[in-house]
Amino acid sequence: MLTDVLLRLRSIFKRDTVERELDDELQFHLEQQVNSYVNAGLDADEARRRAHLELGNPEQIREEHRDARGVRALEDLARDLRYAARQLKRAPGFTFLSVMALALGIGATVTAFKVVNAVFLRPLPFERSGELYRLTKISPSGTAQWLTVHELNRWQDENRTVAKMAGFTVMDFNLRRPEPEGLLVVWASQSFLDVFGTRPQLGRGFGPIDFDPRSDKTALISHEMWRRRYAADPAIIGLQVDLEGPTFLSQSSGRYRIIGVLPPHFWLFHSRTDFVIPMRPSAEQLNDSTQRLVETVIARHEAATPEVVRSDIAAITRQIEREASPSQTQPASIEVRSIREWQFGDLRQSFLFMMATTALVALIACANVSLVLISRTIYRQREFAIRLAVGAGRSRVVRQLLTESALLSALGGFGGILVAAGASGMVGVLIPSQIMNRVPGGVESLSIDGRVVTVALVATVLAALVSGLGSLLAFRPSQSFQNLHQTTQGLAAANRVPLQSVLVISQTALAVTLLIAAGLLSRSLIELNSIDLGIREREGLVVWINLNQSRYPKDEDRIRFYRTVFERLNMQPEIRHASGVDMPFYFEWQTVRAGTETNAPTEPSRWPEVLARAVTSTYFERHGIHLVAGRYFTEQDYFRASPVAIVSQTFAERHWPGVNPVGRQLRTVSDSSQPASTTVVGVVSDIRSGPHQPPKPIVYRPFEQLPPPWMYITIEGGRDAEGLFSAIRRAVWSVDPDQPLDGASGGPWTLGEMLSDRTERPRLIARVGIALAGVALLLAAIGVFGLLSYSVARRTSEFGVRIALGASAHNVRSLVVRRTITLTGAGIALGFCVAVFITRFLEGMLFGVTPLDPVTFMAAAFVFLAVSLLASLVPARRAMAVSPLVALRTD
Amino acid sequence: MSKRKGTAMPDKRLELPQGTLDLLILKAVALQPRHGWEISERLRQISSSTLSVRQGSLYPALHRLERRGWLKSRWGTSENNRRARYYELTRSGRARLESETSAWRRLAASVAQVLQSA
Repeated sequence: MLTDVLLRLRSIFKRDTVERELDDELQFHLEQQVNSYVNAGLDADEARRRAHLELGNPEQIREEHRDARGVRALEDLARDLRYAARQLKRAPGFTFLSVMALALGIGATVTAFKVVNAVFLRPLPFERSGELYRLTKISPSGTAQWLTVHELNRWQDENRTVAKMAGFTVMDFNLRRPEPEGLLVVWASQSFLDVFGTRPQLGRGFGPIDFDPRSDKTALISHEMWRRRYAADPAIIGLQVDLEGPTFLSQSSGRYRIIGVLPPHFWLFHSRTDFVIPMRPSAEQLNDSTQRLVETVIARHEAATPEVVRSDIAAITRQIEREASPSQTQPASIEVRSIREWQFGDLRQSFLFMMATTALVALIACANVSLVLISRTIYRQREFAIRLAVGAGRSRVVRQLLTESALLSALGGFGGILVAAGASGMVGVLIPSQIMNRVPGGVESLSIDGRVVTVALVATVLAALVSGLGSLLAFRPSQSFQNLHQTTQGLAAANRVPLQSVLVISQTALAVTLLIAAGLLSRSLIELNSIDLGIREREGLVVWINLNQSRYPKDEDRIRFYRTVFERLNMQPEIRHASGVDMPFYFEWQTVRAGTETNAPTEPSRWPEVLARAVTSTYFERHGIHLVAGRYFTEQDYFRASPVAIVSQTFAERHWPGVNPVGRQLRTVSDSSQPASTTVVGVVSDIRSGPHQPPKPIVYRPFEQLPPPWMYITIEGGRDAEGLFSAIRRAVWSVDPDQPLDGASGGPWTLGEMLSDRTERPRLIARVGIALAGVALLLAAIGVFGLLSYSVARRTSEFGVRIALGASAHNVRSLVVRRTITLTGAGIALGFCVAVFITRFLEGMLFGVTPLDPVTFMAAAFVFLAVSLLASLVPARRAMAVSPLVALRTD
Repeated sequence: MSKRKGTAMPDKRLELPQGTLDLLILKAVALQPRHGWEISERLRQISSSTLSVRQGSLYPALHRLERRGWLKSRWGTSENNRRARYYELTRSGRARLESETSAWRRLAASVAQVLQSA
């Protein structure tokens, strides 16, 4: 009720006035009562005595009135807070350290949660994104297979469980004017916008006419491209652009009319989308079962479970296969995964690790605060004894203790949020960009939303409870009577610090465990990086050139282009070497079927699949791939000369075991070509695509004989990346000024960057682990330092006596050092036990190290011992400097 | 304690349960606004001093009643020109008084009946 609230507010804000009013009322009451007694005949003193008796104890009345005001709890809280604040101000050093420790611990937890929130919890930027699934066709050999347009159509027409389905492929296009630029274009089926629930912000979406191959080519442009290239001009609708499509999509180059603009922040599972064009397969593409052009299929299901959808689509697929080749026994299988699972499922373990480690760090921080509070509680036993003696309830004192830890935690929590808010930069450093780029919006999208705030609050409350627990345990009201008689020193000395020792030992154990984990992960990373993949990582720049299809339709055109470009490159003074390959070694695609005279069953479709690469003659040497037999490609292997090939060692061993393959015949066939016969002229050493991978069989052809529609050119030179890039740009544009040099997928890259793609996850957890282990080490060291300082302080009289009796400074110091080693040793031993139990869970993330690797364990122990001894320096010096006279007199 | 002159303290005083104190206070100010001492005197008079009210408990009770909106208070001047706080019944207070009074009467009647029927 309103009056109630108003009166309560008045009691809070005008407390003094309210108290005064009560006093006035009581005063008036007394006067009236006295007057009445006097009028009845009593003498003044007697009247006063009676009146007072009848009124009752004024203090009690005031207390009751305070209760009746209904703001008791708040007043008490305010008083406790003020008192707690005073206490904290009295020990500024400890307060500062505690708040810092908590801010670090809570800040780390909140930051980690921010990332986890962005990746796993925040809804994806689609309407009802929980309903979206990716459907993948898995070939019998276990790899994901692209669909033909025909298959996609049948999936769409014949399914009974899916509400909406769309297929699309992201392709690299080129834009020629006004400036050459690489683009990412989405080739999409009819219900594309529908499935994602996206509507254009300007213009219109695709209609049936756009999918008619006879009508004009139309396109949707993304918001970001529109702003960047066309300054968000509303006249964009109807504008024509010239796009150059990839060679495998015939008739994709040409003039496109822009009919609509996509909304901002349209996220399609990768870094950016520039245009969306309708899927308009020609009759040939539609019916050719080898033209697998559809990469991704997304379905919106609404009610059916994934399992039901899966069996539905699988049935359709089986039907299609049976119609195509009735004898086919091994059917393809279908996988249905939620979007989030597909995009981020592989990160789950790493992020769990990250959250677990931050939680541990937060725990260590709380232990630090606990230590501080315990020390102070012990020092204040006498004060508490007095309070209890004058009638404060035990719960009141307990409430006060908890208020102190709550205030510290609140400050720490506030600091933690500041840390988390400012730590986005740190996130960018610790978490590899490849991972953050997968999140819609990237690093900038890490925000503090409701969930994050909740976690911060929960963390703060837990911190308050955990740190307050310590001081509660140290509070011994039962001893309060004896405490009254003790000096503060005596009190502290009597308490043999078991509680604090336990805390410091636990802290140490946790920190040691984290150190061990970080050590194991770092060693894994080092092992991963130093693995010899057979290819040399050098300084240099890698640039991707995607040829304009319409400009270089014929093989001769492409050969001429590449030849000239390489000539010009070698002429640039900054460039020492240039080499090229059409596809980096670690990409799994671009394969051919290879058959040899001895080792091939007759039908080409049964020949084994191997990787195929087109290279320049300089490629092998530049990348450290050495010759095992025969020769490298030379000038002789030009376009019209007899076809030659070089094979990798694994290939040679598999197809011509024990025999020198040089001079032998090799036949290759791919989806897009007829069987060709080549002569093997050389064998080179193997390269592997990853440390866990076996070497793959590869067939290399010289680019002059099989000119690819694109090429990755590696150049090495004396200049930095900028300089090299301008050099290559000069060279290429002197041949074709319309040729883009940076694909929308990225680039130019350094070779190191390209290789590091494979180690994004180990790098993530190693970096995070090291950072957090460092923080844990620092916090635990502070804990050790704190306890030692306290211990020395309480033993001042003891030291004084020892020194008076003749102990040398050295003796005293060794006392402190002995204590340090005992504490740390116990902590390390406990840490080892915990680590043995925990590192088991890391097994999946380790490489080249066992979870119980003794070197890492020993190293962690050594590091911690060193740090502890360092932390003991100052307390030891203080112990040595104790003056016996002062010590014995101190209270 | 030796005997003093003045009104003798009655032997039997009934302890007053809390809720009923509120009711009596409301009744005491039903006719006109009164200050705290007046209310306490009135209670003593009406009950012929049989009801024992620790005078001090009055003031917290008054504040509670004010919070619940059944009384409202204002500062005024007493008969002897002193500053005093007067409490009066609000409309909802009057309604409360009526409903509680009839409830009390019914309760008393029922209890009496039970006790009579042996």
